[in-house]
Amino acid sequence: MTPDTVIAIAPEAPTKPAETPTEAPSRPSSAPGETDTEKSSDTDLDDEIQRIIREIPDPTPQPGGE
Amino acid sequence: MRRPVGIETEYGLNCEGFSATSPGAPTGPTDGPPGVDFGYECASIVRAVPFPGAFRGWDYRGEDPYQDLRGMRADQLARDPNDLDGPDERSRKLSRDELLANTVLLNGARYYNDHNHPEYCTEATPDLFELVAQDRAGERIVHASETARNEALAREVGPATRVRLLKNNTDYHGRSYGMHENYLCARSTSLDALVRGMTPHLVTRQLYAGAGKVGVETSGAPIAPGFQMSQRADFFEERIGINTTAKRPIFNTRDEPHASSTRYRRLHCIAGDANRSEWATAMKVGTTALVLDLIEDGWTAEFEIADPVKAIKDISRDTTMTATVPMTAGRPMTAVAIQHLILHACRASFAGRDPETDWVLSQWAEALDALGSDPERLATRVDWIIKRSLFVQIGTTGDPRTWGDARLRRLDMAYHMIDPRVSLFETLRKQGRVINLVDQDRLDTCAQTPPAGTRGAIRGALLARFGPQIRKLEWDSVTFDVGSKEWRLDLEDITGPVIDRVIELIDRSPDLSSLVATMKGGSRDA
Repeated sequence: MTPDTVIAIAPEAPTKPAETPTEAPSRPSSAPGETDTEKSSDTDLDDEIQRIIREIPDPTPQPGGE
Repeated sequence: MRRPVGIETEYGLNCEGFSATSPGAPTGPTDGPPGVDFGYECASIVRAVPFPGAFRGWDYRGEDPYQDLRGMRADQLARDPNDLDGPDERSRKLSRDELLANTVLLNGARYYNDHNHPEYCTEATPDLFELVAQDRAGERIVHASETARNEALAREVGPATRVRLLKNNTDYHGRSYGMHENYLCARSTSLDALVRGMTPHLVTRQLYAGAGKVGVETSGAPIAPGFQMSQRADFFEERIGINTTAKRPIFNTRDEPHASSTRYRRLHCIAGDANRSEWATAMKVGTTALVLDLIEDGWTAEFEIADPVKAIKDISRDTTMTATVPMTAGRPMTAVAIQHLILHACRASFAGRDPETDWVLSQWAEALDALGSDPERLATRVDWIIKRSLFVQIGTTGDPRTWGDARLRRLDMAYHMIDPRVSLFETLRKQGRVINLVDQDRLDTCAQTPPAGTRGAIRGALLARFGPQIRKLEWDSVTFDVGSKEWRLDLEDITGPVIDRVIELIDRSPDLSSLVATMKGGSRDA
């Protein structure tokens, strides 16, 4: 994640907080079978998040389990 | 790992567009989504699983949730007084078998309706990364049944009525459902040592294994604003106990070994979150298995959290990781400091043992260092940090009031959805923003292939060869119809290289009678 990722779902809140990472997270050391894919653009992520927010309803009550 | 480990996941069930006029819906008011008969929906989802070769049924002889590791038997188990009692007009018309929908898959997994949640149980395996792969394959299996059920709902009711399945542990309305890990342990290990050694780890491992949650829940009360490490921490009320649906304990004492009860017990670990991150699943299990190794080797923790039930919540809600928890002796400690002590003991005993152990130890050390200095380094691996990193940027400065934004709660839920089209986690995975540990191309194979060298491999081979003749099965036995008699193959003592020999026999036998005749040593008439 880079600091350019800004998605305006809470316009009343600042969009670039102090906690925002200043560089992309480092890859972990090699793991057995670890795989990775190339990171796509932040714009793509913004668009996807906006779509998901539009599509997903609020959580509905469920029975407890276990 | 030195022991077989399995993972059970109860999937959440978000129901949309059901109405009081849906087929079979009751006319009276309910406190859930109108018209949702959860038992019926859950059974329908599981029974819709489109995987060939599945066996329907389960042998409950090996299950006794009332038996307690402390040597007693519970008269009854606690029930949540605030549980959701929805309509049951449709589910009451189902037979017990139809309602429970027990399904055993060719990969050795069990998929069924547990307390009105679709539950997927992997076969237990000592191979950590194979376990992660089997758990991930479960997501695909459950999603396939979700898709099939939604196609049926679209035909029967209309496209606006659908279910969405979640790999998470809360409904955001004060109710939880479980993710349980099962670790086979030596019966000879002292229960006191297990409780003393495991408790500080179970309370603090959420640092890297917490799945994250927008909100703070209390049973029977509306969700409060906030963000915390764990989905589950809000729901633990006791240090130790046999219950799982209410009065949830950090150390669960259910005694169902699913193996020789004289030689083994099974640590039924309920104090953990269902993870989307493969790395987090691996670390949750890998570290816990090492702590068990330590305890079985005689390690006694020299530190004890004074109030674990309070601590598990306090740690979850302190994402700065600076707060300390009181210990029974000495100065209060941070969760990170407690984890460093546990890591130090594991590293001293097990460093260099094998590549898998070394991977867990090195990732553990790296994670604790990052948590103490720059947690964002874990924003591709640790679920709660992946979420927080994203949510902070899109909607909040960390002001607790903004964590009450309903849109953030929806996104939090979307993170856990298993439908790749709407899953926030799958979006991040697709965009290369989270790491994978297992080869994603293998997952479809894992959905139909059991872990090698396990009892599940025997079950899978038997299902593939003699499925129609199986009368019932469970984790450690398979019962067949052979002519007019039943024949029960006991898997309890079949371990190690014997497993491959049994599979070879199954493959070589021209028919079931030949197999029965050959396996005289490990069989008996039922």
